[in-house]
Amino acid sequence: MTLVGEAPAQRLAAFRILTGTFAVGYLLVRLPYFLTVIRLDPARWDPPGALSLLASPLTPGLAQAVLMATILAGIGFTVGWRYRISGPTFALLLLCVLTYRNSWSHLFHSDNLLAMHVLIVGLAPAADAWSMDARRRMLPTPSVGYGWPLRLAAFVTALTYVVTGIAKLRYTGGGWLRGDTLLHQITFDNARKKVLGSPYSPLAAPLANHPGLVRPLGLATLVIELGAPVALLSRRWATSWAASAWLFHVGIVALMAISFPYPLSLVAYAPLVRCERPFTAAAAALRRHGGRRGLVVAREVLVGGHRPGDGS
Amino acid sequence: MAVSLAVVLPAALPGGADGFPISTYPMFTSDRGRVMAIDTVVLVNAEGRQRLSPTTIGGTDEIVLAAVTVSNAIHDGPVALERLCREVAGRIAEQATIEIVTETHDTIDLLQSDAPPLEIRVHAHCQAEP
Repeated sequence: MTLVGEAPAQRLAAFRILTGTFAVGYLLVRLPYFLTVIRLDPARWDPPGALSLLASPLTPGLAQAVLMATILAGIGFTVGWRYRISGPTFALLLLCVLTYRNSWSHLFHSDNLLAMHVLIVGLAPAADAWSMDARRRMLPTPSVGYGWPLRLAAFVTALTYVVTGIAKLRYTGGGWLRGDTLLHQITFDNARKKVLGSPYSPLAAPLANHPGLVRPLGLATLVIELGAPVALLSRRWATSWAASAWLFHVGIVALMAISFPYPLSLVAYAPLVRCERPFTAAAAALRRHGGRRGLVVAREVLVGGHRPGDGS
Repeated sequence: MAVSLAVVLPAALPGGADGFPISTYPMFTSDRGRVMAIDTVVLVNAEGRQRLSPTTIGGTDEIVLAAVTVSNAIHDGPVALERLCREVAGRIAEQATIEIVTETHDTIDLLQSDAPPLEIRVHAHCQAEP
């Protein structure tokens, strides 16, 4: 896969809808947490990246306003309303909110890919189909303009896994291949959860009795992470690798009670596949079973207006 | 190409620092060993020593943030320890002593048989009032 290649506008639109729905849903589900972060002790303020120039946190009122503006912009992004404004605005606001979350003396690593994907989609023509803006417009023909953002997002997905694998080899060398490092990570993380009064995995204790099981898990982790570029070879490879990576994240939940919501939702892997297909299948099902009303809904919401050759 | 380099370079270059959203993804990359020191905050009252939740310790439900907050206070010294101790005490509505401690555990024994800490080092303590 190269960065240059055509894709239909609907595929990029589907990725916009998926990332937007995930991001807004994430902000809403975790709203109590984000509202708590706003009120943390300013002495803990240590912002990375985009916020590193801020000497102190925002006032709680201003931070709350930014959070609410992000959610509203996210709704505009998802439905493709005034996208030339809502797309970049949401991408930048989401970057700020997620950076703010990472500004309290610890960097989490579960939001990085989401922030980068939304930046790519927000700066791309992702609302030329299946959007409020595109209603009553002809569907555009497939083009490179809709292909490069998806390919870039796919590259970034694969690269983040490769970087993670490189870090493991660089910092622990053969420890990961022997399984010792992974076993100690699993027991340490669960022990810390127990000491700090948090739910931990019931599988960690039995696993410690069978260290031989951990070695293949450590090896599989490195194969999935360093082997991520195979997902760029073909759609079949992409599907196989995405399934493996998803199972790897399920394993992390099971053994360490650590959740990476974005990959677990599968949205992180959407740019690797024809992600518009579930939408078109849903529209077709709606047409078959929904009668005239369903047809209108499918046409207006999912098909997004007139097709080329409609003569209108 | 530029984006690809931006994602990969921090991890590939020596001394590359972690950041957001570009990261070196250093999580899970150190061998922790079986015996580990874990910084935490506990409540001591007439019923004994009780563990506190991440929300009570660090102000949010994030376990890692709570752990890092305690470790940073221990690293920063008495003023930071007193500040954290008072912050935690403010979230507790009972007569008790709050202790900021480092517990050394055999992590496998702790998980398998709820073994007590091999060592407890108290860095600071303060009183919580109802």
